[in-house]
Amino acid sequence: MNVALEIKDVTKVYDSRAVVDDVSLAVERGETFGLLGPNGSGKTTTIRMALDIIRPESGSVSLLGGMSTRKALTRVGYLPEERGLYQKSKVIDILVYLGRLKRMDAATARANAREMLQRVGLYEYRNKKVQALSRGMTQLVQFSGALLHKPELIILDEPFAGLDPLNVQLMKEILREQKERGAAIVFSTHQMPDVEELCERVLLINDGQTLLYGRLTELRRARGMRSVRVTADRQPENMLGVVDTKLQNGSFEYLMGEGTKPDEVLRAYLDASIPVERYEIALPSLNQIFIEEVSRARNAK
Amino acid sequence: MLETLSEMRLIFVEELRRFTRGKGYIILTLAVPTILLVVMGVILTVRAVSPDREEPRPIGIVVLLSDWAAASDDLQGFRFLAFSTRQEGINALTEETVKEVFVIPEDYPKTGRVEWLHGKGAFSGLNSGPSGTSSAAVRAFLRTALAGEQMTPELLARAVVGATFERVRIGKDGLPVEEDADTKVGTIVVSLVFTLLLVFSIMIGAASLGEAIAEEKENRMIDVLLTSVKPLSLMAGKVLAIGTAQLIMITVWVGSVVVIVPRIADVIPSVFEFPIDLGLLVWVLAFFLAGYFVSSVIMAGIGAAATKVQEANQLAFLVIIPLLASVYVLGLILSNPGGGLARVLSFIPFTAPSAMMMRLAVDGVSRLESLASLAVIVATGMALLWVSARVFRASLLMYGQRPNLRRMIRALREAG
Repeated sequence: MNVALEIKDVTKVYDSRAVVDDVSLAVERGETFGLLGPNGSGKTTTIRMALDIIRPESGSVSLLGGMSTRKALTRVGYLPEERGLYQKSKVIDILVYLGRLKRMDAATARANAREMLQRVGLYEYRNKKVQALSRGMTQLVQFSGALLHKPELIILDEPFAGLDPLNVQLMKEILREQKERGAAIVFSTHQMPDVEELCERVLLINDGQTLLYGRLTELRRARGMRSVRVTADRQPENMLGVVDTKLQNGSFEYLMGEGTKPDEVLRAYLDASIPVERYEIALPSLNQIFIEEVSRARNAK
Repeated sequence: MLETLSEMRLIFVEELRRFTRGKGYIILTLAVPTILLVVMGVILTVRAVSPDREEPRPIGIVVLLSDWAAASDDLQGFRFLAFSTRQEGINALTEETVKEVFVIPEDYPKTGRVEWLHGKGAFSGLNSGPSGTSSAAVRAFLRTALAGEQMTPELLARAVVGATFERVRIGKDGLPVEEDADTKVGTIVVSLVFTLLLVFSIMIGAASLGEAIAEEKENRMIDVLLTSVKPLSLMAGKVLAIGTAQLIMITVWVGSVVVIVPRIADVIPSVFEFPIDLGLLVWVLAFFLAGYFVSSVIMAGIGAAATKVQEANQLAFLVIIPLLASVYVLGLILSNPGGGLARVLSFIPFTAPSAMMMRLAVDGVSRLESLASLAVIVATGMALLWVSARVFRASLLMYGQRPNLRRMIRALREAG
């Protein structure tokens, strides 16, 4: 019962092309999960299959430990990528409606809507029509609508897109609170720093196929042994086995070729009698991993 | 089943609330009563300031009870003209010296029956009796006359209950005229008005339903809704809500006509004389609702299939054009209401509502035929609702693809 979302070997075909091809993932309760991939990689299609909006050609989706889909969906909060609310409706009315759709009684839906609006700082706008709000505010209202029924699984498609840094920060804080409450959170994004900040595990897909899947720290560590950062006044002239060198924030960052060990870089400094202030094996950023993996997959085609 | 109904109710309440709060809807709903009130106001004002306005004609009274006192000339502001025989009253009516004549027969104290002779009166809508002011005047006269008698329990009861009016229309030759012709004209007018209202309602209400669904698809609000309710509940809730909103609008319009127009007619007598057959009106209303239901469902299906609002608006003509075509053939139906064409059109769901509304008005359509036609329309609506929900699901399955027939058929198969 700890698995909030389990997708097994799902495939979705459009025009005889698999836009999602044999993808699997599992998200546990209390976990924040990142669904990553370039534009058109199949993230939104995967999410839409998870929510039973569209159905896969093959594979299966299980929500909240195998609960019936319709029942489980009342305990799921969803924020789609393209945001739209009824422009001529009042903010509070829309939120109450969204709460009622999730089977809340009107009074609870109204109370929770007020609470959420207070949390996102839009309480004073509760009686305004949506058309009077800015894009960012509308996004926060829709975000509130996805959370007001205190869902057990929260699925957010590009939640931070178009928000200013303050609102991004606010949204992240709220997501942390939801996680502490025990909710499972799945979100798709292009912003790798957001994923590094929030997620424990990720799935990287490209052209509908899984490139990486697992715990973020393990994925980084697995690739980290090929990158070394050295802080020194200068660098040796001959650095054997190094395929790329960058000077970043006063440190030299070396990407080593296959078969080169990190201590060979340190040995090169010692052999050249260059004093080393700091030496560390650098774990690659998720951004680096993303670019590397997607580029490799594209080059392989 | 219960869950579907509960979901439908949720969607219905929200959609109805949102639709009826729109400025456009409120303005349109209040337009007819406002116009009528303004017309009434203008008429009353003009009459009030007009120095040489025509003196209203008196009401003729024929009292056939031998021991009753003669009618007083003036009572509570109404002028009466008494005649000793029914024929004298009829003569005065044909000479237009009186507006109408009330004949109080000998058995009045027992039966309460009063004969109302009229030439051409005022628009009476659903009321087949004399105008409110005339009947009030006559009742006042009767009460006064009864009070002058030695009061028996029978007379006291009669004074309390008042009178029932028996309508007799007198032609120019002084002979009674069949009322059917008037009633028929009234019902034809009502049927025509309802047919036009149907076209208008579909253009305004049903078309906006298709547009709203397409808009929800375009801005992905539909994704949020579909994570909470089934497509069938969503479609049915929307169709019912928009239909109810249109019905409220039409009820306000018709209600205001029924309430206000007789008041105008009281002020300007002899303007209209179109009593309406209430039984036929119920049938006309049933066909109107059924027609609106079918068209709304088709519009919802169009909204479900369209990927953009613009596309939905363009496709809406697929419904509006055949509907307008059915209005064009109304002339043919009127000329031969029992003919083959009229009968065929009565069983084609698109044309059946307007065809039946007209046939009911001009020709006595059998109850069985009316029920069969109504059943065809409603059954088609239900089937189309189911298809619309599948189209809706299918169009979501086709998300991101350019729709074509092969894909649509495939998606429809998978949409179950």
